[in-house]
Amino acid sequence: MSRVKSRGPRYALALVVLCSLFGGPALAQEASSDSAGTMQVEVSVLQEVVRIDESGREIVEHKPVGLVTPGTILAYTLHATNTGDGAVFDARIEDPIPHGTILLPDSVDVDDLTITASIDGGESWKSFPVFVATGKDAAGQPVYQQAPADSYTHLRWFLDGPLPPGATKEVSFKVQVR
Amino acid sequence: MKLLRIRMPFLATALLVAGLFSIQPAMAGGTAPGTVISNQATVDFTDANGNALQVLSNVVTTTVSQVGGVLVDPDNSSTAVPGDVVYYAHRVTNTSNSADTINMTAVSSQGWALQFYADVNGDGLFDAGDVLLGDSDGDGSPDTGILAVDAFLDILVEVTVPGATVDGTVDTTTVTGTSLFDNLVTDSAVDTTTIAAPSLAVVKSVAPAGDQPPTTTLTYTVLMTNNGTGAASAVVVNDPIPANTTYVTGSAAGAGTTIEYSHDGGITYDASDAAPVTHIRWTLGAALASGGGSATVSFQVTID
Repeated sequence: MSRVKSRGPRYALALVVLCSLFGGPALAQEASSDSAGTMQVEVSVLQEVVRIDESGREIVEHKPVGLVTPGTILAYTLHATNTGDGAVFDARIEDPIPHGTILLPDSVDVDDLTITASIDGGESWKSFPVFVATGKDAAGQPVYQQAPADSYTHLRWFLDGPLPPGATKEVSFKVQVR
Repeated sequence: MKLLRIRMPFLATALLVAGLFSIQPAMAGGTAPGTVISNQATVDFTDANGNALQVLSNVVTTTVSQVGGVLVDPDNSSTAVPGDVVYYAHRVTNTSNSADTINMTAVSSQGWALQFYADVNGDGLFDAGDVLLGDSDGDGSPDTGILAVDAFLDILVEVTVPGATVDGTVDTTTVTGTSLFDNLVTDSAVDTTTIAAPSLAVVKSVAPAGDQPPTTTLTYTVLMTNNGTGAASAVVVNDPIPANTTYVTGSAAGAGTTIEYSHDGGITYDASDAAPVTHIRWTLGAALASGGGSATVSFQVTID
């Protein structure tokens, strides 16, 4: 509880946002924080299929996984839900990039969450997208490049602020089968 | 968000650099069929009582299927003269995710004879050690034999240009590899052969022209011009002495030619121009160049 109290001002701000997202009851739940929150996370996958329509345009569709071969793009969606009676705090979703696949970095939506990634099997974590020093320029300044897509091993999404009961966060990413 | 905002200037610079070096994942070969792609997420969180907790998601699994993958490279082109046998080199690669046999077919747009050879030493040339491409699976089509993932076979396509092919003829031979595992998976390369054949125009003239009385000496001149796009080599001109005329001994001329004479109606030739001469034969020592190379020969007769 002391931890919750110390973060009070920040939560107050976050709650204003959350109220607009999830409606008024969130505030009520936060008030009765004696009951504990708990979470459930569910992973689902769809296959990206590119179809050419009658006018020759490429239409990208997401369909249940069928024939998966090298090059196939799989879209993973993770739903993290607070299934308890009270709010949860500092929730962090972590997902390893599945073996046999390469992350498509552009598919990771970085708009509204802090995301970190590991390129060393979860040993260390850096802000996503990860940049690595690849040498020095003529002036001796380090030159950074985006880490190769196939070097990503893990992703983490930080759900800042409390998540009220019943609230769900959805994150997604795509990979290509090697 | 705070983290991102701080790093904005750095990211902006770094993204510019990254744009120049973007790296595309390579898909050649690929994950073996039967591989299970598995994904399970975790969520860490703290409940209202300050307990740090972790939950695991369901496990989503996806199994990789076998897929065909064929690459036939490169396209080739060359010029040839009629009667040539031309060899085009190709590399046939199994780009699928499992071992496969690739059947080879080739079609000539001109209907010319084609053969596949294995380029045993991979030098792109037809050598003594190169052998006809076999039919390892006995399906009537030559093939690469079993190629492992990403393995390749160097082959040669032998194109035989018929002897009578017209100058300027263009043949496109399409060389296609087809996956035995999935015959809908194919790749093709095109070999273009342009025929540069000689095309000879022969003009014979006589001076003086018109009706002439007996004992007049006539000079015949034969002008040969190669208007084709290929050189004309080993050109032989053969001219009979006209009826009712007699060859003027020593009159046959032709710079750079070997002149021979027949005394028996064109059956045999020798170097003697002693009478009777029935035919004259000029063998040109040098090829007539394409695009207008020419040669002139001449001889004289008297009207009987």
